[in-house]
Amino acid sequence: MFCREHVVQLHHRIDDIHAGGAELFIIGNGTPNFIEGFREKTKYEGSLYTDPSLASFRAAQLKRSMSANFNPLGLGRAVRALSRGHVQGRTQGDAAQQGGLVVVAPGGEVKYHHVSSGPGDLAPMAEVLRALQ
Amino acid sequence: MQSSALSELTVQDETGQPTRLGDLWSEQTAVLAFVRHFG
Repeated sequence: MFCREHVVQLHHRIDDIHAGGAELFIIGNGTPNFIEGFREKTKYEGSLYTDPSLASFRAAQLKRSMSANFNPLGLGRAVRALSRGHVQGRTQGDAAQQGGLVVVAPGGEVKYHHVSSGPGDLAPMAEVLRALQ
Repeated sequence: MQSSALSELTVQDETGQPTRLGDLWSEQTAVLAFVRHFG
């Protein structure tokens, strides 16, 4: 699904992120035991965390909205994912919670803040990398 | 938003061990990618 695409996209640019003196941390919201499966699917070997409480998602001012998921593309992808056996149980996280991206410099300055408005609304990598300069 | 809203919160690694978010940007810039779910 989309979140996986996002991780794959970020992973491809990990060298650029490192070149900018930064480190990448992926934060999901399922239970910790789902991280391993996520790693296998995305081949992502970097830092993966989860926050089932969603407290950090709220603090990052990210959206929580079921309606954001209801677009034809998102639904089609969900149906396909389900048909392949990727059953999305509640342990994988909160289906209504949307994502986003925050870049924080040492000292705490927020260099970049992207609030996803729905599936597929990912932070443009060019903007993320510019925030590292 | 202010990073102080995030710094004292904790996230868990795959073994359930807590990590303080503020520690992630103590020595380098941190790119925090919040993903919708582990789908």
